[in-house]
Amino acid sequence: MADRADHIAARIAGLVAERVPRVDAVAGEARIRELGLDSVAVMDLVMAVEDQYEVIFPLERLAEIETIDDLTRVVRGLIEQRMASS
Amino acid sequence: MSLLNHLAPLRDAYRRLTQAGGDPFDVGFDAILSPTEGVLNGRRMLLLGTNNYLGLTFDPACVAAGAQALEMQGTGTTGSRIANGTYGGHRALEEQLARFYGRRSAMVFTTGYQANLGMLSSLVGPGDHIVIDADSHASIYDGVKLSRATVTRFRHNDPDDLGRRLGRLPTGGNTLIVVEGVYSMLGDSAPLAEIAALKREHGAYLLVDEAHSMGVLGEKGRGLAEAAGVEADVDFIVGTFSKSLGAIGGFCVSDVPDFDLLRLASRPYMFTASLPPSIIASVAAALERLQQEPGLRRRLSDNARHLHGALVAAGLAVGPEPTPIISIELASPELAIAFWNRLIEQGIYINLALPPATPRGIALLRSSVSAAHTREQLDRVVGAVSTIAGELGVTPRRRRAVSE
Repeated sequence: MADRADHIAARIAGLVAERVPRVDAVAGEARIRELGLDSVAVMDLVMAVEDQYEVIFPLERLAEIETIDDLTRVVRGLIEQRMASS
Repeated sequence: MSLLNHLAPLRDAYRRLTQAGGDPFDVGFDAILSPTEGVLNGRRMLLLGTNNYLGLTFDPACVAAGAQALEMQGTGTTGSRIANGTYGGHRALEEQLARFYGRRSAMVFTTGYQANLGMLSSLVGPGDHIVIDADSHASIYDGVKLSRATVTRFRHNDPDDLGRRLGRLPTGGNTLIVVEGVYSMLGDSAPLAEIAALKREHGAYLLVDEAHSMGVLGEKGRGLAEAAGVEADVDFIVGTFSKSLGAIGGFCVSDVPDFDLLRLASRPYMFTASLPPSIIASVAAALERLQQEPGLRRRLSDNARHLHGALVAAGLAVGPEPTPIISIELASPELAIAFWNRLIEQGIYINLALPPATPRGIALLRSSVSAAHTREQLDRVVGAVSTIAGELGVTPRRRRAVSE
């Protein structure tokens, strides 16, 4: 289970890094807005994460997200929810 | 630590962008001479960024109707639609809109922005789902926030992506799909027939914002739903009076039962003053003109095709469709601002649109064509744009239209 969590964290950090110019890797505690992503870029990031894990990430939950770790935490919860309901 | 410290990044970006010259976000016209001409800092300007699609702002019948209502009924209603702010004219305009769209009910709001806020905040609630196009207008984003429903975005104008996301929604609750007829930044229209099919397949409701397509698309000018032949699938049409009808205000028409209950549920409808009688009167006259003069729509469409075709021929990267919104994509905000300043020097006013108001982080010079533009005016624009593009080294890097 820990492996799986690490994998999700790494994959999400990768999706973030793809969107930040001149950056190859980002730390989990990095604040997403400080990486230079504007509000639309953050929503586009969320869309890519949704597709990666076949989940719905409600926009209203963006308020909970400051760091990449926050994003990973919410996505893990959404994946667990999806698996529990399927 | 100042109160507005959180806006520091905005302040820095604004300073950077405006140090090059004029400020595109602080334009104040000395005078407006006609739907297509004004005076800016003492200089006559050709106006190419006004959303004045049918050119009705100086229409004698609309001006006379507004002036008469101003004389007879005063400057404002000073109250809410659900208190003292509903006059005979407000009701008559709602009936006129319902007839125009062939719907049972209509509601008039004080602005187009409030129409989206008012509908989206009250049509759905906790436990429901809203699925919006990623390139939606700010009023849609703000409206869905007020709804307390679960909000998700689908990729712009991508029905396959919409279908996938509808399939992922949990069961239970109603689903409302929200799209626009014509998108305000690139002027592209929604693939409405495919979206309507998905709406039927998933048992969802569909709201279409026809702000930029009312009076523009469709044989009768009812917008994209009419042009695409799917009016029966559209549960709610939202629109504005501040574009083709040349004033201000917003509306929604629908056939859903109990529609009038929304008047007592929609806070952006209730907790604001209603439109002044003069605006209601000029809008009613403009809606008459829209219906009686299909020639305005033809001229608008001809003008849009002419400008779009000429800019494509000049090698500029413009939006994918010749709707009246024609935007030129430039490589950076700095280049777009330099271009904008040069156009002002040439006596041409156009809109500047920058991220995050634009999709995909692109910088745009956004024009909106009017039926009132003459061929000579449009050709003058093409000449100036081509010359400046050459001077600023804007290469025809892509001759194809901008689209994804």
